Amino acid sequence: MDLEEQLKRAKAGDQEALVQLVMAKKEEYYRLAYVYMGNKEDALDAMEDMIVLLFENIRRLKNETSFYSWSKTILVNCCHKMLRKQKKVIAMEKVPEGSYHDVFSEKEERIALKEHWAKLSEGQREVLKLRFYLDLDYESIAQILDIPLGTVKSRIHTGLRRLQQSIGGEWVEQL
Amino acid sequence: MNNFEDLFEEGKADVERLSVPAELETRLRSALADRRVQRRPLQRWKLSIAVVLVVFSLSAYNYDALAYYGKQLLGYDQIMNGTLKQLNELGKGQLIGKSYTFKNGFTLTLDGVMLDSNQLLLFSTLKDPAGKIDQGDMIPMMSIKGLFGEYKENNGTGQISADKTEIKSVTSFDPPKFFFEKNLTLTVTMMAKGTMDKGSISFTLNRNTAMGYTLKKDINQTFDVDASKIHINSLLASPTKTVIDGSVMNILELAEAKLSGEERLGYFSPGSVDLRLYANGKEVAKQGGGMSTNLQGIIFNEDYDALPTDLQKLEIKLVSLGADHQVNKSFNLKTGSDNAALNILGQTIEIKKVFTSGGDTYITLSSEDGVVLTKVYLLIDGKQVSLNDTQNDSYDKIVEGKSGKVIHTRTLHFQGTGQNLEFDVQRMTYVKIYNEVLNIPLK
Repeated sequence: MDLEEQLKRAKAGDQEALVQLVMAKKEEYYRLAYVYMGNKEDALDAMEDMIVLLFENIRRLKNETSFYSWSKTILVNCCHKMLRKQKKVIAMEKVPEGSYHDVFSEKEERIALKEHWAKLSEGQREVLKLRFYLDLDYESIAQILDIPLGTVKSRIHTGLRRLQQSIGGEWVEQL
Repeated sequence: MNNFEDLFEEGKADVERLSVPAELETRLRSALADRRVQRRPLQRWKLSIAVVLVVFSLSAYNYDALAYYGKQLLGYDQIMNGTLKQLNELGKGQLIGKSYTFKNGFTLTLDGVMLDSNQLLLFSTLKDPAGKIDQGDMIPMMSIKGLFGEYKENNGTGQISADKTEIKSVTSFDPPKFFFEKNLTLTVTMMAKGTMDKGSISFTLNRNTAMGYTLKKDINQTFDVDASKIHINSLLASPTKTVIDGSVMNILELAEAKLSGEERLGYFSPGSVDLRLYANGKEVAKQGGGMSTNLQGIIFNEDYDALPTDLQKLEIKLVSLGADHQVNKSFNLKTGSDNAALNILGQTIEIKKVFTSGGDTYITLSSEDGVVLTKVYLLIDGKQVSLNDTQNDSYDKIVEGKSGKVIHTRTLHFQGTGQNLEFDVQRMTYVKIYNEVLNIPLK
């Protein structure tokens, strides 16, 4: 079944068609959610939130070719929403294995980048992760985040510049 | 490092290594279950008729339906505990009998309230004339507003009737702070098909039916166990329940612990302390509890049933406490399922299986529930590898004579494989039994 046909069904309220549309690019969705949420459970939760919103709003999608970028924008918004909530709520029920606090900081240090991350703004971190972890091009990032192309470019540029200042040393300009 | 891409390499490699969990498809499908396509908006004339109907039903339902039956709340036998039942039989509640009808036809009736120093209890009935009350997420959220503050819902219980036309529930709120706070408004919010329907019911508290408290005690005593301090601050007993307030470390102790590099109570959780209340030598049933961190440190409350009227002796017993402990022990493991059980600080951890899969090493182990390896590594050929994730948690109940315990089995995943495996346990949380008793003087 081609994309157009499946979209038509999904718009008519066919849940299975919508699930299949998402499953067709499951890796892209999952990795996107994971980059934001940082763990499997939260990434899956965010995708659940996304598909409910997709289902409720797909009738309003006018331009069918933009289904994937539209749905990814929704996924990113779901992630933002969950992260905001997480700031307020700390689950205390179950202590996971390996949760002793310095294990976390150590894991972060393993990624040489992390200590410098803090010096960037939320927006800069976000575009850099999408660009370099997920290999998305500027155009896709602009679509998914629903911001102008120029903003993406400038955030990446200033973000990298700031990282460079923070880390120090010789750099090869790659922009 | 002189290349931006190198800088991001590790994070990117992590992301590329991710495999989509097998349960994704089922989870997406179950998220969509129960969702229906929204109907098209009603035409304007239909809408206006509906509005008139809602207004009519609102005004028509606001009468004291229960006044006829006298002072007792009827139909709550199943969800009231023994204490509440007795109070109700004595006519200690206040009847209200006011309703709100939601746009979807559901009606919420506030049958009555009961008030004492510990809580404000609301008795309400939610009715669905269509008899489908068990389908979907139809429980309304409640909040109470008075002149001097807003009172949040603490907890509640409810029961669906056999014909599925109604839910009766008892909901507990913090009691209004001031005795002159009388006029309250209950706001009920129901989410249906993505839209929110909000209504309110106003009622006046009759302070003459309020029950106050039966015992109020400043305790200020401390359980000093293994360098953890549990302060019991006060006890407030009222006719509906008994609440013990305490703190785990006050702010000074927290700061001290932080400065000395000790983080022993970093993972203190409400479930990790088992505190029991004994009245006249008999255990008082526990009803719940809560915990929060604020400027005073980690504070908690434990709720129990009401105290007996002929109270002669009152004791608080610290049965057990789960806390984090230094271990620093390592164990040699070999691939396969014939590894000996590990004995760490008196706790047994059985190594069920050590295996490799997809270039990574997995260790399946089991222990009593509550035992958690909070800082653990695997030395693979001498190289320290930290825990990647924990998978396939399962809990089994095992009956041993009269008592039972819960065995928690899970698989720890470490990246990489090698010949020599050394399991390095640095810290562990487990539950330790203390059975220390505090006697509360009653005079």
